[in-house]
Amino acid sequence: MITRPSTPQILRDLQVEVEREILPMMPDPVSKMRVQMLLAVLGNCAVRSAHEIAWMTQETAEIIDYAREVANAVSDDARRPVLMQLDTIHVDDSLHLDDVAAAYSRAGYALSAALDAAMDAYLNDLVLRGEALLRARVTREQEIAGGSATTGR
Amino acid sequence: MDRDRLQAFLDAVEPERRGTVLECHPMPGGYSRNAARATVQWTDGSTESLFLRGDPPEGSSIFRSDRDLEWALLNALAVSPTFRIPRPRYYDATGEYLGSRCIIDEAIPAQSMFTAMQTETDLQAANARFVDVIVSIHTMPLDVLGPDIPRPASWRAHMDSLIGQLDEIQAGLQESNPILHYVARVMRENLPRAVPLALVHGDVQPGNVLVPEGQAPVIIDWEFSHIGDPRQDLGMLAAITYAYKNSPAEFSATYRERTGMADEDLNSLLVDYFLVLGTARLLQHMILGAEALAQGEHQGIKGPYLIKAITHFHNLYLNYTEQVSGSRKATA
Repeated sequence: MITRPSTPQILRDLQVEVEREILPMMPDPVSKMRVQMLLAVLGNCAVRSAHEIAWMTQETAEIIDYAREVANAVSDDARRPVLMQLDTIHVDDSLHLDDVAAAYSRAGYALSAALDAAMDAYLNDLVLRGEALLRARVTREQEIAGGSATTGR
Repeated sequence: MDRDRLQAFLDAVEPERRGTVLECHPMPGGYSRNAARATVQWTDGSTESLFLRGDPPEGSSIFRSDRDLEWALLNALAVSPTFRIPRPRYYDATGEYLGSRCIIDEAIPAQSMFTAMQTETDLQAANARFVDVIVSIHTMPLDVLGPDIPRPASWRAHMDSLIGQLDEIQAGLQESNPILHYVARVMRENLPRAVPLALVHGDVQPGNVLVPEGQAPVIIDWEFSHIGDPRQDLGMLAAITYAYKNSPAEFSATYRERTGMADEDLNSLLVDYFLVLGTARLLQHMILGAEALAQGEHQGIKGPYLIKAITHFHNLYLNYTEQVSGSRKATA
């Protein structure tokens, strides 16, 4: 497989092409704005394609650790829904995007169940740690988004 | 929404006045509706400026709202005793003439309050004028709206419905969203005190207020308006504009002073609470738009573009829960 240029490099190069060669030729402001949105999406995809598999894999592992810790800290009844969600996460060696994303999504349900259990049991340390995992998720989303300013009215 | 279509529409709805459409130009940048500005000359020699807002083609819009309801609302608000809106002029209710359902208002020749604020030297006074506009919406007697505008059974029912939107978003997804799951729970556990239901604009911001020279402000863009908790507007405002962010305590104080609302019913933490509830419907549209895209439905460029806005709202929502969990830190 051809690895140079990488996918992010190709996407960034497309950004440059559209910005320099196509955008100036757009006749009306509505079309120009659509192309500016397209450029922003290409930039987001460049960041995402460089890291998404690694980021999802890492976050899934952190959530599993956290949910197990919560399960060990709460009563049998409270533990059950957390363990049920943990059981649905199938982490294998596949690094195909769909497989990694599926495990990541199931880890999200486990995180919700674990946070609920920690809140129900008033385990403040564990609630704060769960919230910190959510904050870490948003921080990476922001890295992909590259700032929150949007184009348009 | 081009010149020929508008001409055909006016020929049909105003055959006696025999207007000629002199120009009709699309306006860029709207997220929810396609917009255009037109000038019409009538046979009596008078000219009229019109503002057209139509539904985008099916499948190319992320935000959805009800044009029939908006038209009914605009006609009710046209006689509001507390504020002014552009006069609603025509409605192509089927899209037969203009290509999609389209509301036509009088176009007001004025700059927006947002533009005016850019050169304002006394920002405190400018913010106070903006608060007055918001208060003029929230203090409008609800009986002006008549029976056709939906009204929540109670404040509590309304709040349950608003928080329920966060559950609805998750139910419509084929992936988890632990952020919304957590936020919904924190919202339920921190329900504020009730205040009287009021008219909520749904997108109140200085850019949606026109300030004609020597005349009262004119409030536009009512497509998301409904009866609800007035603090929803303040939350929405906090999410999108510096008019609030620059001086949140002062902004809230002015609003309390104008409305008589108690400090415990409106403070910075509660504005952030209503930031979540005031923007949940917008987030719902964006997230479900992204989900539709994931299922292979083309949403136009705004579908993938607004994914970054989902991140923006995730961040704002967590900002709120982290304030609440500040008390957890103290006891942890």
